[in-house]
Amino acid sequence: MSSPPSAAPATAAALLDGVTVAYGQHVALDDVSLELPRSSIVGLIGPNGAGKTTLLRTLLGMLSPRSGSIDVTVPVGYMPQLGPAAWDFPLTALDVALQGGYRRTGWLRRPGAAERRSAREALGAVGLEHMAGRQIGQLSGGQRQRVLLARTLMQDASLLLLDEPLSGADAATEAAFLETLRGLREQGRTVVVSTHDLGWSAAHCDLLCLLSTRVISFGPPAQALSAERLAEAYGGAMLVVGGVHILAPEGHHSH
Amino acid sequence: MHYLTDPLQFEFMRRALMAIVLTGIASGVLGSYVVLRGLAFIGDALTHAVFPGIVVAVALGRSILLGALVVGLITALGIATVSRGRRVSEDTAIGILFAAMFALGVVLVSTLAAYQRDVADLLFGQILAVSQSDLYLAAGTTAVAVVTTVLLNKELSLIGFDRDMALAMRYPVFLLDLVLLGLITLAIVVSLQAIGNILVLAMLVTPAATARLVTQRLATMQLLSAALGVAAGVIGLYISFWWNVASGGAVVLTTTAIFFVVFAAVELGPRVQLRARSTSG
Ligand SMILES: Nc1ncnc2c1ncn2[C@@H]1O[C@H](COP(=O)(O)OP(=O)(O)OP(=O)(O)O)[C@@H](O)[C@H]1O
Ligand SMILES: [Mg+2]
Repeated sequence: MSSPPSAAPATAAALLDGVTVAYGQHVALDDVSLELPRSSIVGLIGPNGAGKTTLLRTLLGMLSPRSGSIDVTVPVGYMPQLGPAAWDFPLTALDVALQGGYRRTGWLRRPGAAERRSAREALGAVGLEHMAGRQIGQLSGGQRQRVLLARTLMQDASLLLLDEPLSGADAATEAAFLETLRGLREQGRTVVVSTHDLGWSAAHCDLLCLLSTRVISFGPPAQALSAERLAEAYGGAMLVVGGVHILAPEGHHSH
Repeated sequence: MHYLTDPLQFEFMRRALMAIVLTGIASGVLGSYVVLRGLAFIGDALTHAVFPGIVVAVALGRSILLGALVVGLITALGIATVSRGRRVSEDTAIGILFAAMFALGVVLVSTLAAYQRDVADLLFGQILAVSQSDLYLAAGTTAVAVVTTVLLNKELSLIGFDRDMALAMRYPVFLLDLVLLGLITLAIVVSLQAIGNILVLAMLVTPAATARLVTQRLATMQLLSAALGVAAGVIGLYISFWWNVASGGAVVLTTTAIFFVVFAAVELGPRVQLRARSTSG
């Protein structure tokens, strides 16, 4: 992890400059410029189709931008949006956690004792050590999410990209997640969390990026989540009730 | 005792046993991925597609396994390319293309009247005609297929479980898909002579599906699936020897019978236990 200090400010884990990404004719990200500082939890919010997943995949190098430049200075880890995995695959929670270290293990080799130990620790960190031997499909939705987070921890990355890790999580899972994320921040890592939970992101993220194909706002929560910005991103009127923003259908007026 | 040892005095029967054991191992190990990734249809397409390769090999007097291998690997490349996006319409494309390949084989056979009997043997299997060189080729192919699968197991299982993550980890997913299809083709080629073109798919699917019923571990599933394939092969071969029925059919019916016995045990087992507990309590 010895990146040349000239490549980016020492505090940035990743730098995007004027990044535009398109699927064929459809522009999913338009002129996105962001600086993701180290030691921070960054919330990525925006409506369905805003380009959150696209942004994460672009940072991973899975998509190449049509224009603009991306400078990722640290190793990247990923937790995909829940869904496409084949949960009936005959793998245990421990097997899935181990997957995060496969690149370290390398081709043609099997994970050794040290890897297994770290995988158990990662499961422990998300409170699932006792489920290590369970087939992955026999876990609840929230527990599966935790196993996927453990797998991401196993990647030992300095920039973690989590795509809606909290969807379907109960209060206990959410609390466990938050504790894990804070631990990662302590270690100087950068965590990007895409979410639809405005309240959660406002309460727990250091920085928020409000996305709707373009970056609508980027900064500390209070600044990024002004009523006008939210209305701009979500396209509807915003109601502010007791300091909490609520999305209202377009044209709704209470008086 | 004679029932087991008598057939072994024949050279052709010893070769047949070797061939069926190799078939059980290769299709058992690769069959696990066929079942887990839902590749039965693509496997079927592959078995059909190698048919013209076999016909041409027979006509040229070359090894049929070699003919099937060459055409099969080309076909695997075609399928991997067509199915990159895994869409239904591409299933249709595969269906059209490989039914056509099989038809091509049929047309070729009808123009080569002299070889019709040989080729019919390959459709239904002619395990008693396995030659020593066929056996060497089958053994080498099995070794390559099994060793490669074991060495790539962690990558192949990652892709099968979570393709998106494999892509995010920058694995060459397309290449690995291609390798998997190539390995499945190897397993098909090994099974061709013993089981016959039409029934090969059963050896890829049924033992693995049986193994999946009783284990939650990939490696165990692969081992068990290979063991079941070998067992069904040997039992089926003896049945075919003593009752004088087609070996391919006997082997496939044996593996199917094993599947249903295990299925019934797994399905009924817990229920019987529950009932026993509820009546005793
Ligand atoms: N593979 C693809 N091919 C074509 N268009 C795509 C593809 N993936 C996404 N898109 C389009 O790009 C836009 C952004 O999609 P993206 O998945 O990044 O949104 P998102 O913010 O993650 O949404 P969600 O909250 O629903 O997860 C959408 O309009 C979507 O239709
Ligand atoms: Mg998304």
